Amino acid sequence: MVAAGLADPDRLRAWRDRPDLLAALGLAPATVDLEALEDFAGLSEKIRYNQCRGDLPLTFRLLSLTQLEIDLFRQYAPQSLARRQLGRVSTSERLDGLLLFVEAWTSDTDPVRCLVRDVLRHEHTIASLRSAPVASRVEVSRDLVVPRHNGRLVIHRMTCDPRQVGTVLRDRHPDLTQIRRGRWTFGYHRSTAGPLRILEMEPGIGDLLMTIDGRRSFDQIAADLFGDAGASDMLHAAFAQLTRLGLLVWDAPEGVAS
Amino acid sequence: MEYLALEPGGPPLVGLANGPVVEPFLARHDRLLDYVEVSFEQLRHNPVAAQLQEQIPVLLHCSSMSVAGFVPPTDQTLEAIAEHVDRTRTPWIGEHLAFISADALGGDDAVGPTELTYTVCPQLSEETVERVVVNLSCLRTRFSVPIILENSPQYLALPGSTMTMAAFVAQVAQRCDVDLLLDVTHFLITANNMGLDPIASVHELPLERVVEVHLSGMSQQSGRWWDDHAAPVPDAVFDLLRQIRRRIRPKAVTFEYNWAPSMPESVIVDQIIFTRDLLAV
Ligand SMILES: [Fe+2]
Repeated sequence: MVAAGLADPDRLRAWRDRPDLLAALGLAPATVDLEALEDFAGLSEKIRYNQCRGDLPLTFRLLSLTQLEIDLFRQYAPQSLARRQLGRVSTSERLDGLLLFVEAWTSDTDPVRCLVRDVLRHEHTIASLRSAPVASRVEVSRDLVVPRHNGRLVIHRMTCDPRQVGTVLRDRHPDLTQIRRGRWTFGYHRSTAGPLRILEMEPGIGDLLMTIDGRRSFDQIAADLFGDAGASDMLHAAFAQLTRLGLLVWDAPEGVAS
Repeated sequence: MEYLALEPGGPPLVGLANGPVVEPFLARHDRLLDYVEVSFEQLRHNPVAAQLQEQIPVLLHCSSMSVAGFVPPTDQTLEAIAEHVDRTRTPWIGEHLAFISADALGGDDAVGPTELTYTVCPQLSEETVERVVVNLSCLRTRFSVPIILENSPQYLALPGSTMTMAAFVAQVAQRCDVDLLLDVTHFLITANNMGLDPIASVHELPLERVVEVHLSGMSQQSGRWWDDHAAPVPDAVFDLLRQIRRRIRPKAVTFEYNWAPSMPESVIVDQIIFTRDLLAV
């Protein structure tokens, strides 16, 4: 019965909701500590994620220090089982699954969970950008001037600076009160040549970068942002700056802002 | 190839359980370690792990025999373990006093046994002791070296249990005439979770049968204590080891940091030196 519960967290939940199912197995429901068993299922799930620890050292350190590991993995266990049953067991698939879960698990009103989510986003993005993206051509109409991200660019809004969190967590006796909280926007960038860069930026620049989809032209983006008023000089300047920083490339012969 | 040499009456050997921390640690501090403990499961799924023995002796650990369960390992598994026993020349096989697979619920043979990824503490009862006696009598005939049994961490009161972990281990040791691998962290976790005094409990164990000791971290979460092979061994575990040392000196002590992607070298170095000193007295 213990093995069946550990192997299938949905069954544990069913037993909690319907104790008569336990009685049908010949067990007095009062003798079975389902709470503890669900926590144990959380530990088992956590152990399955050992293969991801190399990519998520700060996330695991933080979960351990905030004593959230067992609870998080206990809640994640049913979803994780469903992913396993679909064969999604590679390290990158496990990282994706955990991030998906944590995004939903985090409420913006819970600062500790926000911290966990931000550190996980940071490490997940670094792991996913570890290898350089393959150069790709985007098919666009040649009479338009279309900006697109140069390689892969991921924008995250954070309630912390994960680099500073890392400094705190790497201490032999970390003091979590030293973690600075606030609002940050980071761009994680990797072009087809060159290392991963993490750039702190103004929130507006992050917004702008997120509007660039590699399909719309500069004029279309400007029109979407400013309506009939057209592009402002500021927008030209911003695109020029982002191009100089190596974040944008243009898919037509003449770059408007280059 | 390097093989483990046990000196009768010599000081305990100290090793690390195989994991990501081992390679970088060996590169800088190989003289601090006498061996690396490698699990049969690692060798089976990643045969490259066997190359470690070109550098350092290997002690074999195992989680596949389900000594306290109802589903025996396959012949193929036992043959594979036996091959690794002979190849590594391990002086013993450490195996969990636990189960890793169980019959499907409701006796549904069509479904096949439930396979777990983590060994589970069995019901602590006379019935389970009998089961271990039967299982072990078959298993030990398959190998050229003894099996020693490792106590499990107990996270909850298991339905049908009639005795404490210490009493269960003592009965198994006596009935099976088997030596022990005492995981001190597991034992402390068990005592804490079951509301027992760890020092009084540890003296209820047949300590004279302890051949090897495991040390690892532990964490308290959701109102319970949990095994944590990514955290440093806490002082409370060393305190319990000091108690144990009053009565016995094990042949080997293994630090289990095998879940950790990395660990500050200074932590491992300090703990190894501390342990050697503690056991030398
Ligand atoms: Fe152990």
